[in-house]
Amino acid sequence: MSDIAVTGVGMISPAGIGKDANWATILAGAGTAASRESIAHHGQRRTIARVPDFDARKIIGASKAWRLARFVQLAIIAAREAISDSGIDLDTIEGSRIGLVFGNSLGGTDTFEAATEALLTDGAEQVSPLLVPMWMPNMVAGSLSIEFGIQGPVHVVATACASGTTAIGQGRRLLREGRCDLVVVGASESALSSTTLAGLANMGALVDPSVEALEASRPFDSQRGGFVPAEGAAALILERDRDALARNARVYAHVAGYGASTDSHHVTAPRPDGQGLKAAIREAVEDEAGLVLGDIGHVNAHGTSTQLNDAAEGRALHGLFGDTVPVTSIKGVTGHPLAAAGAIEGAIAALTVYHRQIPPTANTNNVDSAIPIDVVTGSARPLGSGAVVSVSAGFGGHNAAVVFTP
Amino acid sequence: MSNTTTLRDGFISILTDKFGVPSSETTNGVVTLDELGLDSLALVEMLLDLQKKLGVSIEQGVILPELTLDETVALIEERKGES
Repeated sequence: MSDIAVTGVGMISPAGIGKDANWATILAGAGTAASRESIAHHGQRRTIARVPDFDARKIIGASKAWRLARFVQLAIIAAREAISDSGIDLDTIEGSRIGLVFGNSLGGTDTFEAATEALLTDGAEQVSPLLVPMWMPNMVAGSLSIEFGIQGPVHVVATACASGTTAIGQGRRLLREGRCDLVVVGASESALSSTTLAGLANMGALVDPSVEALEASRPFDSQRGGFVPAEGAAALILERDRDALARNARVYAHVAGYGASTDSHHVTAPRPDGQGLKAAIREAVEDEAGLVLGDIGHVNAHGTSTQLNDAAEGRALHGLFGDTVPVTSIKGVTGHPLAAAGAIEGAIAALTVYHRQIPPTANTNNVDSAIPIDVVTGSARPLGSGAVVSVSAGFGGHNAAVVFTP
Repeated sequence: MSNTTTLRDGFISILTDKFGVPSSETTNGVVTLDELGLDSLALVEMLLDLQKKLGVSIEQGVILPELTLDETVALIEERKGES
């Protein structure tokens, strides 16, 4: 039952600042040259993807920006755009009836790293009193509630790289349960600090920095070699369809179903057979949306560009959809913004439904022959009449899927 | 340039550069720190900057939100003189 409408979208990622910039860049399917940088981190080179030309002081004001970690700054920018984009005045809704579910995984790692350096270099007295409130993952939700006067249930979900998709699904439930009249959902991440990157690199998850940065993220490609860590945030405004209709709001799409499962297999590796992911997709499509798999016209995949994820996800998608449903991973453009991935991809999935265009998978030239799915490469394709499912998976074995319908 | 001017300028630089206080708001000496948007956590953070950038050590609880800009500068000058 498609009773929950998406009425506002906000995004900030390596593909640009703002919903329209992100859609245009992702639809073009090209690497984001200005946003990719190889930097020295304590003597180690990393290929990462940052938001281009980002100056938080200019966008959210200097007096506010200094006391917010970057992952919170990104969240505020995305949520502000989504609220504005929805055309709703939040003051017209009782504050306790507005909810928020936001994903984050790693918190303010850069803040913690700077504090640790201050502690070791100058002593405990030089550790910022703002360390804890800037570092805590939940502060993304707390800060958004303060910024926008949200006084209902405010939650942070941490299902690693599935967090954004989990947030969309859980926010949908707050509306369906009747607890809220409007819910802001989304996720944010900016954890490109030296320590985090070293840990990810040493576990073998990251792409080799000697690979040309612009082409380093190539989901499902036979030459894929790890993910490009990125940052970003996205927010969506969810309302009951009747409320959206009553105020004549623009509806991008409906959140028709949500599914979640856990691999119960390994801390970082996905189940090779993709059974957990399949279960989440089936729940979202069949149990919640009341559709059949044949109703799905496009999959916005997790597609991280790692050997293990793309192989397992490919098996899951092939098992469910064969090789006939167009599949895209926008991480060829954005890199992998960890917890924010599902929110950005959910936002793009909603826009895919709205614009009826499927973005291509950037940088993927030769789809791995062991992954027999229809990967959209090269240029955008038209979306047929089907629904779109956005899929995420995360360390810890978390799987999540959300179905978007017109 | 006198030491007083230097300390005042240094303090105002901390207010504008670190805490994002608009320059136009720092010309009024009777404005309070609270009115400049500095809450208790910001004031503790400011103590770290005073020590690091101006070499002035002030313990917590001495600079209060109700102090004016002029009063705060006077306090900084006093502490600098003691060091």
